[in-house]
Amino acid sequence: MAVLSDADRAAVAAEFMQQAMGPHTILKPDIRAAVNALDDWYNANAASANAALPQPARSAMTLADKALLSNLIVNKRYASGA
Amino acid sequence: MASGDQVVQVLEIWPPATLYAVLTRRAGASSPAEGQNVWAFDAATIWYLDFLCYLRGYGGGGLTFTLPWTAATATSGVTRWGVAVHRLAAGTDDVDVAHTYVWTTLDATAPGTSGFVLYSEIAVTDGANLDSWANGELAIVRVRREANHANDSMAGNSELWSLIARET
Repeated sequence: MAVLSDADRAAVAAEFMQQAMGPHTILKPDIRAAVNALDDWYNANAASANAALPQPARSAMTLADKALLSNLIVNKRYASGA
Repeated sequence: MASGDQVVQVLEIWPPATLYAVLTRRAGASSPAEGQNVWAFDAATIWYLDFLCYLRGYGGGGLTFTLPWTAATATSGVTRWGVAVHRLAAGTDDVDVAHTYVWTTLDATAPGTSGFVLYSEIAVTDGANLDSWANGELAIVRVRREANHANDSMAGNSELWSLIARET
């Protein structure tokens, strides 16, 4: 899978700024650079993340399921104070 | 009337049909907490807010609009505000016909604390920039955040609290 399109990355940055609580000392270009970098990282490491899933989950789960699982873990680790 | 007099009376606040600033409640910290109604302007897309205003006692010196605003989350960066006028002259201006707004803009740097209110002033010269708005007439005073401009660097929403205007 390729990286997100420019429009999709811009949409992510816009949505982030609507949802994030702040305070933010960084500027819009800094946020966009962070979006680009993290999307690049996901793109480079997607295969590795998939390989980390044990069978039978790796084969049985859809791409959407894996994305949901990843979101839940990241949120629990870094956004929910766990 | 003289320079400094408040010659503009805000009668109504109207969000446009699309691309409108969103009425948002920013809670204060007192007990009970203040329910501060603010109009949130997006950081990525240009959003607008219209004020129906009445002009009286104006001497032709131009108008200075004061925009009290806060940054929702940012503590640095610039918000680029714009003000424009659509005069509603009797027997002349058809409200069903598209109007071309002439914008006067200001780059305002966010306060270092997101809860601090900044009073940004935009001086609009008399004549075409005010759409030749005359005494005794209504006008739509349109405010926008020019979020797609290179100068607009502030992350997060800009929150407009009100609109104040005086003769320059």
